[in-house]
Amino acid sequence: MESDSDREPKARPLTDLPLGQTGVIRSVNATGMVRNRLLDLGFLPGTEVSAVRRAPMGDPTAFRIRGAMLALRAQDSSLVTVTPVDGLQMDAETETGAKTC
Amino acid sequence: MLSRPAKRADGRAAYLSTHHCPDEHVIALAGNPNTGKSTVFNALTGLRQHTGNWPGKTVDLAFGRVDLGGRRAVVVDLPGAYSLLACSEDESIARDFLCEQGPDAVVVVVEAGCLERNLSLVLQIIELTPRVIVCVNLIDEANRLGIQVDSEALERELGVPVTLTAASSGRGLDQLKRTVADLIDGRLQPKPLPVAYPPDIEDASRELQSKLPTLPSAVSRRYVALRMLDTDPAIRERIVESIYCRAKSISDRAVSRIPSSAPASRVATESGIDDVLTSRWLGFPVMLALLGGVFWITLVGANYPSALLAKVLFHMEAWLSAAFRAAHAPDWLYGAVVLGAYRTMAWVVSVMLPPMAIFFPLFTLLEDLGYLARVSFNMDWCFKKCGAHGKQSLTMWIDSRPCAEATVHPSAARYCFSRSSTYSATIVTMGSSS
Repeated sequence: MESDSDREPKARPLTDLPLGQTGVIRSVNATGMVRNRLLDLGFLPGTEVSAVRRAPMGDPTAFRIRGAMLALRAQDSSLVTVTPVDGLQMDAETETGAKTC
Repeated sequence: MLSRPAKRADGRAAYLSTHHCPDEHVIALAGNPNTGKSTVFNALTGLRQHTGNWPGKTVDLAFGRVDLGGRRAVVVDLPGAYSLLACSEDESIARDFLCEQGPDAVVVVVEAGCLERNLSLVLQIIELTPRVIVCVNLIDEANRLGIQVDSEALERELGVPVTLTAASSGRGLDQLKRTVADLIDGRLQPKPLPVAYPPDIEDASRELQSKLPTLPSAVSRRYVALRMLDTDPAIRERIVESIYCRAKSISDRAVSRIPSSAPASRVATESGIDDVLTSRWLGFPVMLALLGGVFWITLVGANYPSALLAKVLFHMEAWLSAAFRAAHAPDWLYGAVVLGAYRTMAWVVSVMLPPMAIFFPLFTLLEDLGYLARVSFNMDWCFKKCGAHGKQSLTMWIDSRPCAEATVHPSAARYCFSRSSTYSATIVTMGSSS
């Protein structure tokens, strides 16, 4: 975890994760029901999430997380921050993800 | 749940009084959405299912009977849920049923190809009751993708019986029925291994449990204490984290993946189809064409059987009229029976039966193919603009059909999510893969 925060520049909203890219969730800043819902669906810090496709009108976006494909509106995905993972860092991140799960 | 805990015996009597003998066993079927739970339900109960109101609730649950080696039990199909920490209405229904009705067995249907996510619900249910059986469904599909599930390892990790099934082909269902019968008869006594939360949460939970008043027997004290604690957002996050962490470690031990070349191309094909179905330029035209096609087939195609049915039924009206005349029946009787009851029945049947017999199979086909989830995904933006969500497009679609009575069909009613739209996070499952 420590090495992550040293290496990663900074967390960005999940909304900005480009399609086809994977990121590791850093925080879930929603409150109330939306926060609980996101947590229940597995949007937890340390979890890998990939942006898979966007709906024709640009919103919502489908994300792959913990083996399932879930669609989130921008208003909700903007409350989740991620640090993008590129190809080289992927393995290291997966390992970290497994440790913190 | 806590404010109005029905006693097990009372609740059960109330639930059963309308439909069942009080001594019948109750089996609840729980699971994430899209795990093939309905297929398991249908395979267990055959075509003898009903929808029944749960007294005191505004929900209808599907139920049917299953033959467990000579003994019959009632199977209740709970709404699909990701979690029992209950955010959506469907999830509260599932949780309340488990807490208040204290079913004799809970079969949790999980998807073999997506075990880690599904285990989160299993872990929450074994906190509530030990009488749990895990049914790992869609095992054929997972095996084709090179995923192997070790049921013995899973049993060891969870402490409850596990059966592997492929409900659509009937595989494993006899085993599932035997396990349910063994559990109900007490030959099998699961000793679930619930999630161990961080020590401070466990301590707090124990302290809280000792201060709780007497609870109905079906409700676990630990569960209640934990739910009281997790009203604090920080504690809730740690609880959910512990659950997912445990789910991951169990899945790591019980699931093995054999990399093979064939599935990769299939996944690529499916992803390519999705690219078209939800693409910026083709998404809506394809949707209009598909849904329009279904409408067209329903409306135009129904004309032929409708005309045929009308011809036959009105032919029979002529016979009936002749029979009434021959018997010198009074006019009022002829008017009431033939011109009133029979003619109305003939019109209703010939006009409504054919479109329904065409529309619902097509609708079910689109649902089974997963296309309806894509429609929700495509349409969500438009519905957001009027404060609704994409799932409602399907309700609208069904309601706008010429025969509005169609909404009484269970598969249609499942899409009438408008009541549960209180949370704004629009979350549509587009099917899972690994």
